[in-house]
Amino acid sequence: MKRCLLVMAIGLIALPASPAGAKGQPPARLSPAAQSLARCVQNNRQLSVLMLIDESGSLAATDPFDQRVDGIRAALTGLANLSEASVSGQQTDVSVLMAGFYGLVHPDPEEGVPASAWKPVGRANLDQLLEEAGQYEELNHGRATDYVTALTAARTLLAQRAAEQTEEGGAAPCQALIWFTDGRYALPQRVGKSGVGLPREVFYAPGIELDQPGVEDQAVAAGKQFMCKPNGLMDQIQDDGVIRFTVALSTDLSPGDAAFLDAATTGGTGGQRCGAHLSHLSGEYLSARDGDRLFFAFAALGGTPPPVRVTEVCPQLGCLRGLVTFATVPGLSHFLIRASGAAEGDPSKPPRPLALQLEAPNGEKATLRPDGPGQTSLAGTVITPRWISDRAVEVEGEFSGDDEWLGRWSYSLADPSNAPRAPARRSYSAVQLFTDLEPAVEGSPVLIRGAPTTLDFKLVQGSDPERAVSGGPLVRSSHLVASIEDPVAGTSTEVPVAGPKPDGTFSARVTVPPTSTAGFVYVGLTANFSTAAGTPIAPQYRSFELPVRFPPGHGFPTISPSSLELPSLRGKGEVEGTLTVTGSSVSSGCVWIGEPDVDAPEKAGKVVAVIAPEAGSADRCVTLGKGEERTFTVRLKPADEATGTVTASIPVHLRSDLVEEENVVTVPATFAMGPPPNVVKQVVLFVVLILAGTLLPLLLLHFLNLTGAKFPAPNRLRAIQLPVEMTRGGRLRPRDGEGPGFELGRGRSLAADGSRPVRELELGDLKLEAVASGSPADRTFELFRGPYGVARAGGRKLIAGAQQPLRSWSGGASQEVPLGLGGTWIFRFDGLRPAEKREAEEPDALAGAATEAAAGQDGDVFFLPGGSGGEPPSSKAAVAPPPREAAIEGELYLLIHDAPPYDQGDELFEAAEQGLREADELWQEAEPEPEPAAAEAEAEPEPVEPAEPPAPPREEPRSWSPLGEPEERPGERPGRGSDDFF
Amino acid sequence: MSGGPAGEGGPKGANWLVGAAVGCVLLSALALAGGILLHFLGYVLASLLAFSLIALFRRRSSERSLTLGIGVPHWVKLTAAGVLFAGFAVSIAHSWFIASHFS
Repeated sequence: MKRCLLVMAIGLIALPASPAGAKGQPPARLSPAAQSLARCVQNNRQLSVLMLIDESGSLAATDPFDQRVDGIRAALTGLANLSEASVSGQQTDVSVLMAGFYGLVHPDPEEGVPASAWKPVGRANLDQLLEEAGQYEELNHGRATDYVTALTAARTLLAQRAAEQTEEGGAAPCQALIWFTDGRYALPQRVGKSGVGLPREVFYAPGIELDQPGVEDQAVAAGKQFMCKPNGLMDQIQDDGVIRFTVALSTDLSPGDAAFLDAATTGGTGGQRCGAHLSHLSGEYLSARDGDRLFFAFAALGGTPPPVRVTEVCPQLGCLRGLVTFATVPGLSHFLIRASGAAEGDPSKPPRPLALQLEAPNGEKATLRPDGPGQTSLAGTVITPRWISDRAVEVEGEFSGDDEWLGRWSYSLADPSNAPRAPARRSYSAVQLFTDLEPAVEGSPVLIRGAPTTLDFKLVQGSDPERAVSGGPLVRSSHLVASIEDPVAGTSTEVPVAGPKPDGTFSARVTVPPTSTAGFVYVGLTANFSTAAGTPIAPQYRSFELPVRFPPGHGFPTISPSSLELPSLRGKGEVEGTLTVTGSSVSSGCVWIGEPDVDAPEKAGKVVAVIAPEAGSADRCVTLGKGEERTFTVRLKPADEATGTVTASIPVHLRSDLVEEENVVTVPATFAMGPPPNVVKQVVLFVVLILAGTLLPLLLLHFLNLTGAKFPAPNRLRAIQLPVEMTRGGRLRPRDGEGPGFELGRGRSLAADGSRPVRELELGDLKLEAVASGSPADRTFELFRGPYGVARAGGRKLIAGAQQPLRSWSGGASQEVPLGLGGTWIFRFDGLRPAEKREAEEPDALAGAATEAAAGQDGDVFFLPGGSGGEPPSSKAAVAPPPREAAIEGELYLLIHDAPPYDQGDELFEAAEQGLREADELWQEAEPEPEPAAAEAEAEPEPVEPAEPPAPPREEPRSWSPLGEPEERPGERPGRGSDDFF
Repeated sequence: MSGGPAGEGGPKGANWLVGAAVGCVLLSALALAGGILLHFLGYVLASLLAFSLIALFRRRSSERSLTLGIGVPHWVKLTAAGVLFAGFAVSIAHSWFIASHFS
């Protein structure tokens, strides 16, 4: 089925319909231009189609119903079919560019058209392309219709495309130009509004000022001359290998204008001629005298448009008027119905939407509407409607394995609006059947130059050469047409084909003329089928490249490859290819390569060909022994940069010592030339991409950090705030040591600060701030670490602890806190209370102190110096009061979850105590420089033992801070190491 | 592979992330052989996803080391750095191809 789609899609705008090829009638076949395109696509699998669309203001009168848009859409639908089709397991890469023209062209190739402007065509983006085509309904206000400007731009766009696609070498891509115009070359006087934005002079008519009256005819004549002179614009487009299809949109085109368009496309016949190289092989002209038929002309991409039936649109659903029937037989794969209702009635109003009613052989019915479902099933057949407009539809029915679909189908177009007394509207429709049988060449034959060769052909299922089909109604009705195309001479010869024989095969005798120098020829096979009911079946076309050799036993060397497909050339430079010549197994020989015949764009100047080793004449030929292989390097160097395609014919002279004869094989070589790459643009783009590629992920990470940089809702937290002091090695106690100790309780709820996550929080003079990816104030950048919190207290030193390592900056003025906050303690260091000695006190007071000390033995110890004694204070000790030790003073904040267990504060308090005990930097800061007296005192300790209870035992770090042995980093407290690994 | 519990924060979770990052960079490298669309895909994969995956991995790793007290295995550090380096290298190649295509 896909094969059928391929053929359907390839033969763009076929010859005027001839009846389907029943036996005894002229066989239907693709038009020559369609065949050229089909052959190229089958061999290359790449097709670029440029749609050059007229936007001149005259379209409002010449194409009032926007038939060009329906035509573009129909062509796009056909191209989508082509891209979906598969031949030998390969799909075709189809791309399209829509360019509009009037006095200017857009997109303008001089401004640079990115490769992305070429849109791939496929089912996936067909709807988008059809919508894009709709913009041309409005684009009909352009001034002038300048063919030369339009076609020059088209040629450049196509050449640039070819250069891009062959940058790495490979066969030149197939290219087609579909040129929509209302048919009149017009360069009206460019004055006032008519001249805005348009140049006063066109490059092909120098000296003619277009703002002057009465010069239009002169300028148009210069343009036509520029197009049609030998090696002029149309010849150059032809030489670039572009297959051209011209569609005249106007319904009242003058014979002269029509003849000019025809000639500019096909070379013309009779009086009107154009160019020296144009022919029907590479160009086709369509005159759309009836706008409604344009849809069929484009949709019939299979090359042989089925006959169009003209009936009436049913005025309501379910009527029998305008019914069209067709019959299906075994061997078919699918059908296509194309139907369109005429835009009759009030011309000021848009035509009413139509519906298509379809009935299967088993009586099942379906009504397809423009706004209906995309696919439905009928008699085991998958029905897919594609509405080109509200009144034009292409319906594909794909047959399944069972036989319910065999028999009589019927359809009709209907107007479901039931408009009263609506005038009769004509309905145009065509149905075409498809098979997946396709012609193939039996075996791998080689043609002999100057001698007849019998070629055998067969019909195979799909693309599988092993699945030959020898019987059935379609094989019996089939008729094959073969053509032999000589790529060097540019000739195409039709060859009669006999068959089908009883075994289902066909045969033809083919002779390559002895004068031919081609190393290979194309054999084109078109299989035509018919049904008893006369419903046309799309012909199947396949092209095969067959090598041409000299008669066996003559001892001539052979050449490989048979054609050179060279990489494209951007700007100045040269391209290089390699030819390998192999000596015959029966004779020695000699080979030399003559001066290639090069056809290049005018701007390229002379193309110098350098062949190594140098063997340019018979007396300097390179000798070859039997079976010996020699390699020749071919370099082609244009003098200047240009845009277009260079084709070269390289004559390779071969001599056999056995027959002592000389023969020539011409090896074609092609390469595309394009403008040099814009290095500045390239570098700028590269830098932008690298920056974007680096910065965008970083920005994404920062954004993620930003969204996560929040403290929990305050109503889920409680805070305990305590003024404390602590001697070294001692325990935390209330500031100034008064009172029995702390009653921590549950702390204060922060619910007043809100019930949603916050970025900032204040606890007295302690400010907490969530940081996303770092803080310039702290000179830290932590994109990969994730968000964190920072506590500040007006520049005072802070220390904090939590379940994870915490960092500090700015000498402790900024202290990291976890975003979770619960389970975090923060100590604001207010300063040092220096150590002081006490004068001797009254025994009463000393007794009181001793009592106090004793009371502290159960845990809360106040005013006790450090030491390790465990003796209770004696009366002797009370003689001199113990010195008051240095202590750090500050505010302790305990942040706990507002949830059980409610003794979180106690645990946190202990953790803070432990943390502060280990906070050496505080103690270094807190301890005064030892004075000489103090040092002396240290050397000679006081005889009196201080009244000190045993110091709290040194505990191992609590297990709720499972940090192992993290490495130390500057700015991080010991025991709070970072786990960075970058 | 290091031992320990499986899951998002465990070693197996980290392995998945490293595997995804390596796969990402490999895919991106393979895309070098393709056309312009694949170059775009490769560019995005290399410059954005690999980067982000490493960042995610980094954070997973942090969580893991915090909750379990396990250090990051040496091979993971090397792989992560290698992935980043390869990601940048491939990204540069894609960028050059894209820039060449549009100039």
